[in-house]
Amino acid sequence: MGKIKKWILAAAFLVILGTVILVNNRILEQKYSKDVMAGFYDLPEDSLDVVFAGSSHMLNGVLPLNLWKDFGIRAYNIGQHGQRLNMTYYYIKEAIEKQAPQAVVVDLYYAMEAQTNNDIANLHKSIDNLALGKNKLAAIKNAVPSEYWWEVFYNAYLYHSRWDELEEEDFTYLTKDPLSVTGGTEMRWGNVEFEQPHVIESGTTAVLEEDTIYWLNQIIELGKDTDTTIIFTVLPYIASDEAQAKYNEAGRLIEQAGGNFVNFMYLVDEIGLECSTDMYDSEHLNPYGAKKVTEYLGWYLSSVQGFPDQRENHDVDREYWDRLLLLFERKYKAGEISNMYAVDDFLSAIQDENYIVAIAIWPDQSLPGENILNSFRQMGINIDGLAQRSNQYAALIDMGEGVLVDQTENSSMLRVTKEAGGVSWQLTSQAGQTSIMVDLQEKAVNKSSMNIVVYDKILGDVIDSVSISDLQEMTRE
Amino acid sequence: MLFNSIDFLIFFPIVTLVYFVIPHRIRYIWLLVASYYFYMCWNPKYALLMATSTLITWASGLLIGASSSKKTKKLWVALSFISNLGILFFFKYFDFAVENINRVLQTAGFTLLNPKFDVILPVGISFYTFQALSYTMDAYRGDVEIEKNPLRYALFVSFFPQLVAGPIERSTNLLSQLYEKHTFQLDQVRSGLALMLWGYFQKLVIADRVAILVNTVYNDWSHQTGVTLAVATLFFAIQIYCDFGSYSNIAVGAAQVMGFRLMDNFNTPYFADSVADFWRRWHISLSTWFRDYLYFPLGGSRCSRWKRYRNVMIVFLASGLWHGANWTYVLWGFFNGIFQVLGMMLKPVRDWGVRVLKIDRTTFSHKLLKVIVTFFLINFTWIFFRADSLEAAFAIVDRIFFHFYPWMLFDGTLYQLGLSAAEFHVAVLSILVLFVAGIFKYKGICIREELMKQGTWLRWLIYILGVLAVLNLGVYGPGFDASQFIYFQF
Repeated sequence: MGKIKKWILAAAFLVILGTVILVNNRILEQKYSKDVMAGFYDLPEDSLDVVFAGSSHMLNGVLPLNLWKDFGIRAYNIGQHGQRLNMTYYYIKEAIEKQAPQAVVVDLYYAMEAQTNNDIANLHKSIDNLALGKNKLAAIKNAVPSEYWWEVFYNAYLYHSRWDELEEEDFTYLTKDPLSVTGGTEMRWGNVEFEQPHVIESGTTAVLEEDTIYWLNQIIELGKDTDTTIIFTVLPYIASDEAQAKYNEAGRLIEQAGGNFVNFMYLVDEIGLECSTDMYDSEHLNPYGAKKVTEYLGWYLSSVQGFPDQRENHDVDREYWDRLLLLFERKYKAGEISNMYAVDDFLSAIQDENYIVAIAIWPDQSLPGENILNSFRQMGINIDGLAQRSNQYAALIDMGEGVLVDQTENSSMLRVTKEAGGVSWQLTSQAGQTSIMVDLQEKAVNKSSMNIVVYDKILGDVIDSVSISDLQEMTRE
Repeated sequence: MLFNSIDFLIFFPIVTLVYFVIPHRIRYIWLLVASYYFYMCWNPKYALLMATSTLITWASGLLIGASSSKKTKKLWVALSFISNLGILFFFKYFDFAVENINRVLQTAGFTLLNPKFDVILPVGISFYTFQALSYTMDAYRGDVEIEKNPLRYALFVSFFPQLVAGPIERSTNLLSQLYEKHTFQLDQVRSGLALMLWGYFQKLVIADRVAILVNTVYNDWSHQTGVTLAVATLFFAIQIYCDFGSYSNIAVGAAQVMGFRLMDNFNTPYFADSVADFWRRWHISLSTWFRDYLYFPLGGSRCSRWKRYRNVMIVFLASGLWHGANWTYVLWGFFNGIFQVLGMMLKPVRDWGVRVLKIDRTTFSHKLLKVIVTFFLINFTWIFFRADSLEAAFAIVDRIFFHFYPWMLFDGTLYQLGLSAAEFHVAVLSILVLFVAGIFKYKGICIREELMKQGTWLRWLIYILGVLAVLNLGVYGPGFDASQFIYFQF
């Protein structure tokens, strides 16, 4: 073999090896909040008016697509779990370089402490999703302790041992970037009840850590250098008095530097936040709380900062944003449904023309309650078949089109297959097992009761799977 | 600097690249600088010790070469051995010696000595000391030309691929290669890298994985039963082979990339059919060192039967002590020696048994039986090698033989020893790969050479799978204490 050919082959081998390793690492990497930044990078260039940045408080705390819906403001949320201000600075830089937004709203949750982050798990969560480039390298250098540089730079160093916990999404993300249909926001459904937070006097302050002041100033300077309006904010949570005093001090420094500061700790009543219903936990808002914060921010951006309604702007791709809004609203509803535990509410909510509902019943149970039968009747099911409880029963209902399958069978097993909503369905009902497969993947909870799977035709995904027991208790996996 | 560190993955390509780029006449200086840097990454101060050993043995060579009388030559050999072994003794055995003297004094009611020498054992001191001493002896025997260039000689002692854990090279093999002009040859590089890859597989995928179970069990042996201790011992046999074998493979492979040929240090040791055969296959560079520089000078096997037995026992007790300053190592050496002596003593009995029972020694079954028995005996000795104390070692033996509850092999107990079920299965699977590779080697088939003959797609597939196996199944990264190669401590 010629010498040149050997070298070419060696080079080809290295290229293939490198590609395989990249693919391998992409499969193995943790997909934690991956859709947030993947969705951001997927946005058309310079298509944002506002970017939200910061920690998980921000990631959970605003609903950017509601700003489009109500105020015509195009916004995206790039908050990341556990992110300190030193890291947020580089995310803002990245956002400005990619999108040149008019304003960046920066969460100040971590202003209450020093910015040095030695929690490697948190570091991974806060930096893994930033694309490799000069900002990521600078973030590693300046916001990551040197002992973790390698690990954060080449995160397969950490994730290589995930081979025994790979899931479908690890492979799905290989061929398509995860799409954030929430404008980046991670909606955390659920609720822990709290009393309204105790709020201290706005004049009470406490000294900030030196590095906190440094990074605050860096962000302010970045805004000035790039002609971007920086709006600092503290989102409402059950904050300690000491933390609130530090936020007040941060606000004082920001205003002294001519910056903008919106402290929601003092707006809890004004926005109508109810800590008994609007908190996911003591730190984070659930989507109901986020909705209230977003309404206020929309007002602030349009009325105080003078952001125009882009829905009137013919240069804006309105169709694109309306489509995102539609997907977001579907996702929001899906989240609400998956957080429902009252049978009547659930059966009422799934009667949506964009849903396909599959029902498979494990035989030999008692007759469903009258309320359930009524709901089924509203869906178009012939409930007479359900009265014979020793029979197998399966139904597939396209809420927009009507009942596709409503079958009772007095044999050892009932199995029906059907195409609907662009996917294949296989429903099985037999003693000891119920199965609802979507594209040959099991989705049923498979309990000895009524099993229901809900599929959203617009999202193209199963949004909920429950079983309802004889006692009308709902179970999810 | 560890072979399984990011530092080495940066260091090695740079050293190799520069080695081939710079003129031949200064390459040895470059390798010397690189080797000392490699060594000083552990502790710069200990480089002085290595330099001292180097200087003494280099000077001994010059003096031997300049001496005309055998007596004077012997004097220089003695001085070189005494000074080098003195350094080794001081750093490695001083505390052990004091401790044992104190035990004796205590029983006799005398005041105890208290000159504790509290320093960490310099990495690889036993290896480079033996390598340097081999030069003195080879120079004395006239087997090697006297090296006049101190820097070139210093490179022979400190050559980084095999510096800290062998193979213990002979001046007759390595020193002359330092004069060779090596050119960058793709086939040679490919073969060297493939051997390094196999070394990394042995270390990261097998040795460090089974080490988790071994450490879990042996560090808590008092709460273990015979089954877990037996499995841990079996795994330790795999661990120490893969750990040490991997270092040798990476060393040989790295040297090969640069054009050097180091000796093979392991030759399917667990396929040995006697303990003596095992030692012809295990740590070959050390075994042959002891053979050439201790066993033969003692008279070897060309003497009376009892002297021969004595010589074997001396060699293996010394070998045990070479591995560490602890009675567990001495006893490990003792068992390895005594098994061989008993083997020799009982040979007439075995021959008689074979004759009476009409056993055909050429059959596979007979050979397999011998391999199994040998493996069992070697595993027995590993208990003493791995245990922290003699008390622990004997207790572990007791539990394995008298508290063996076989159902624990099947009730999930094995998955509670630090490795999850998936990890345990990966360990078993990778040991199977090791076994298959061993069979090829045993049959005299060099897998790398066979691979070279295959089509491009198959070769590339195997290389890529190998890299992925190391990257994904390797035990490294956060939360993992990058365990050093076991033999570094010797």
